[in-house]
Amino acid sequence: MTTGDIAAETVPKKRFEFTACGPSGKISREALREIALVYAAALVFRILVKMWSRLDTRGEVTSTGSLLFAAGGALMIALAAFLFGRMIRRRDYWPVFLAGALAFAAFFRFDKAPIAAGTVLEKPLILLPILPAALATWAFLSMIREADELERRINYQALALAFAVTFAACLAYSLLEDLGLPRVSSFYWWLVLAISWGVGLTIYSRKYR
Amino acid sequence: MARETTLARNRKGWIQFLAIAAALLAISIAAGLPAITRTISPALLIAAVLAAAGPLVAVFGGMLRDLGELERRIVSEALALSFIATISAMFAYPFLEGLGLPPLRPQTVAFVLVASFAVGIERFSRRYQ
Repeated sequence: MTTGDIAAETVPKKRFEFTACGPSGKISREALREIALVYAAALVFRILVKMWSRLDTRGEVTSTGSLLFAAGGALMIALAAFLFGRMIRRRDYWPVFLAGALAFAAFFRFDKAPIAAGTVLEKPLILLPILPAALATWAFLSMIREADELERRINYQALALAFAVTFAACLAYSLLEDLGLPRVSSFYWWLVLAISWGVGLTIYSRKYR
Repeated sequence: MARETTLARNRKGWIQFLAIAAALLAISIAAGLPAITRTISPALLIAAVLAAAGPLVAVFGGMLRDLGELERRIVSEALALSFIATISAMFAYPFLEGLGLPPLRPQTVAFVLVASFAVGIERFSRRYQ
């Protein structure tokens, strides 16, 4: 086995370059797998909770069944925590950010009923998604701190665009609300901010290519 | 004084920015009046708001382009603070909605953006004094 072969085995091969965030924003195949697993763990956890709460409200769940559901949920949380821990140990902040945002999105309820409505777990589970959100925010700050001068410049221009677009969208939607459109959840304002930032990153990183 | 940045001294830019913002606010307030909504079509009101929101973004972008290196750094750090503060608040608030709080009005979101940006300008301009 040559030195090149060993290097190819130890250094994760980059699946694609995420040019929108500059040269450091690459996602390795390994990180992509971890992001997918975190998302899957969050989805499975959500499904388990939903199944348990349905059985619980109908009074059909036994104590053994509850224990099995609890064990399944704990396993999913442990898997997500383990994967986050691996990414953080590698100082791979971009995948941590993506995985945190995806896990949060997996928990976010687009319907009006919370996932464990009417059970003892309702309130704790409403607050649980704040954990991946906090991880995503922390990863974002770490990415900014570790960025070089060019990446910082691209990021700040993207932030300026996100700021202006969200501000204008808020003012415009306040008018539309007066004209009869429904009041939307603040999650959609988060989306406006995040998407306009992403679009800004794509536009300005192309400018400096 | 650090607060006298190019951004603060860009009088023409600020006058344009504030004039457009005032026009946008006036349209928003007027649109809520029943007399206006009865006489002017909603499509026309929406077109007026979008016509004012576009130049608002363009003027703000132009003001940022004219900055010097230090001023750009201060504004950039203030923007990062504003982004993080707003995105964290918007992350957390849906869960408080789940606990029974009403959804935020868009004006409140705009206020959080601008207030955290202003706090950032104040804080970071002091750092470079």
